[in-house]
Amino acid sequence: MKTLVQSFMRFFGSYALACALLIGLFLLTLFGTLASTKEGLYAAQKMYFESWYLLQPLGKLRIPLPGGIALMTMLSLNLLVGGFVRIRKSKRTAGILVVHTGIAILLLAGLVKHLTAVEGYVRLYEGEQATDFVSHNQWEVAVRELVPAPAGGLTSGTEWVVDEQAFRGIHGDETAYVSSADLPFELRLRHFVRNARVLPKGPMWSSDYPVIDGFAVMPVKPEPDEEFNAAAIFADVVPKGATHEVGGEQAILWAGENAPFVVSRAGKQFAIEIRRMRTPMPFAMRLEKFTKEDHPRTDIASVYSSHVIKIDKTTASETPVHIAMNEPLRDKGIVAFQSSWGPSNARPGTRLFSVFSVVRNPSDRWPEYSCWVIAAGMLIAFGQRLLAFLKKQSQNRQVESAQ
Amino acid sequence: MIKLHSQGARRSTTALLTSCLLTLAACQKGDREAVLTRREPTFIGRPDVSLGVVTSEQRFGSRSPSAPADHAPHEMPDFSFDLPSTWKRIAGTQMRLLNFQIQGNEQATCYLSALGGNEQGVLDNVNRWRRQFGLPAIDSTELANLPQQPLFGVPGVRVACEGTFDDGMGGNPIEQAGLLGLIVYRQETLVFLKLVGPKAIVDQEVENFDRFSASLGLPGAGTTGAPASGAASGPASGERNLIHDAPVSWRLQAPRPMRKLGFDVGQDCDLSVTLLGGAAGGVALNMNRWRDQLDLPRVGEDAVDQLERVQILGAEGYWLDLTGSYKGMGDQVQIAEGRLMGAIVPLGDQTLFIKLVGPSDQVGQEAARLREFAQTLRWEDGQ
Repeated sequence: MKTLVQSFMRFFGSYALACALLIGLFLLTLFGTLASTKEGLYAAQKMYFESWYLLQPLGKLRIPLPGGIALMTMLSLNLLVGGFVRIRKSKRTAGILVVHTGIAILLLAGLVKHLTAVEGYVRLYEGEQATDFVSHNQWEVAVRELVPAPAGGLTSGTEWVVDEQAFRGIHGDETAYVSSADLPFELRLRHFVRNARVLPKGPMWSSDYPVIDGFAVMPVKPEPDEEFNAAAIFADVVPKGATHEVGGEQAILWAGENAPFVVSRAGKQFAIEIRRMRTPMPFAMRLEKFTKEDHPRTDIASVYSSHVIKIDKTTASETPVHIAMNEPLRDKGIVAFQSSWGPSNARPGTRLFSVFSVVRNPSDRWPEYSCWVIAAGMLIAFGQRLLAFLKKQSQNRQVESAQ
Repeated sequence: MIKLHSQGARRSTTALLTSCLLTLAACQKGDREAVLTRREPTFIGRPDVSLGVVTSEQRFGSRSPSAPADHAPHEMPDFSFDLPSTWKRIAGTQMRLLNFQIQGNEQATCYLSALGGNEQGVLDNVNRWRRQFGLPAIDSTELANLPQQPLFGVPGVRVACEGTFDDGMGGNPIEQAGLLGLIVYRQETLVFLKLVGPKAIVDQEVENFDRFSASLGLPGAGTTGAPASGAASGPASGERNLIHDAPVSWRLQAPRPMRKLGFDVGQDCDLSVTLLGGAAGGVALNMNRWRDQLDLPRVGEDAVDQLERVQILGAEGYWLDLTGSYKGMGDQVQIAEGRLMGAIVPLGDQTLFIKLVGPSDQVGQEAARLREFAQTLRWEDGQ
């Protein structure tokens, strides 16, 4: 048993393993980057970096390789065993231990981000504001109560949402039953299609799904870039507490539709739709001014930035913030980067919108902290070396002068 | 069964657990239950403005949801007819000019369609329908013995079949099905009226079918002859009409604002013919407008000189063939590998635009027909 533990410690604490893992990470980064040009960023990220293993295409062959999670787990074990357990603890290794602590914080930051972070975007024209950011790749089914708008017509009141976990992967006759105590009806969700077109059902094509009101769902091969997909799902609106045999009002919900499906129940109107998942921010953002400077005599932007007002949701206090490249807005675990603008084919004078990449990441600052810790560790380690060197030099000079 | 988040729904926990227990037995393998999480209204960009209940056509079709909700359910030509009480008009398709669901049964439909063809097409299509029921083909002698029944005032053949219906398009076969149909031919066009569905329903609907077919009238007419190809463009008062000889495979679209003519071409292509007053901004500006729609970089005015020249409507025009990611008027890519082919023809007092847009391969297949079509354009008054 002791030998087994020693072998384990020797293997996981070895420099050779550390080198092999770093080479593995290099290769993974290389293959992942190349794959992202064909498969899209999201798919490549899932396949190479958020997986335990993968099959790397090489001609007609498929080579099994460890994925990013496997390599990072091994690297963490290697650091723990080699960098904390097996390392000789003394004053001389104090700096190295601090450096290892910094690296551990960095790895932990990656783990926390992988497990908890939510990413998305906000697109605003000047004068517009957002309370939420929108996911690039996750869907949700939302029920919105429609209430009279101040300017006439109807607008959104309270919302009820269920995220993609509830309906992802339902097949055939499987159903996701979703309900809320506050709503006078229940929803039965079926046939989730990640990318689809909804077309009038004609004789030249058949659909595997029900035809509703002359329209049917035509599945389309999902695009590598998730933001180009338009999901569809079937919803039955059934009376509250109805048995499973009772049918309801059927509708196709589609991300590309012009308007949501609206039902009237208990004297109220409810809009039901599938949309990209919205994540609330602890503050609202209002775009005041978007500025873009082009390279001389071209339409290519050289600099662009946004002046926004950050509105605290609790106090309604307003704080002006300037967001530019490498100058994100950071507050309450939210980071909003200036990432893009549009429309891309805008002519001079066209009204432009600003796009912000938004991340809710509890470990957002941890990489910075780890850098400070690593820097401190290196300072200690190299400082000790320098002091030892200077001490030795001084001793040598004393010996030489004595001779 | 998976466990899902239930924030904000504590009040519902008891009710939910009860309903879960009651319905658990009915759940199939893979069924799930989840709670809709209540949250404050979200606000991104502009406030949501809803019009309330809208039709499926408004939700999924080309018609804007701002149109009145009680509008006709599609943009097909507005035929006149007496609608039987057991029939419900549903959205048309590219092929179905009129489309009805019968007795609320999803399998029972009646629809009107038209295709280009010749007289031989009547026999071919009678046999196509018979094949859908696994029945043997008939010859021209037997065709002559089929009952006659007019449609749009044109004599046609009445076809009846029964058996197991399989349309050969991948749809589910219908056991014990029935078909009642009319096929008429006139002016290189075959017109079909076809009632198909469970035999019991078809048998019950024979009278309705006959009454409906007798009442059918063309748009803007009483009861008249079959629709003709080679038609003139929409009658705009005070304007000259444009005559064309479009390929029979192209499907004429209903009139749309701005368009003199419009066709659904192939599976996914759209052809528009537009006339704008004056120079409409000039060839270079319009060329760059089209390039913008394909996300292509703009080019200078000198690029116009390098365009191919074509003669259309007696004037010299410019032929364009552009490939790129088609975005149309919006920001989203609609066709990743798109192609736009067409012509800009300055006519002096106005400018003609012919524009075919669609997936690159499909536009390529229609290229020759588009050129031929452009050459057939002429004014109705012969000028």
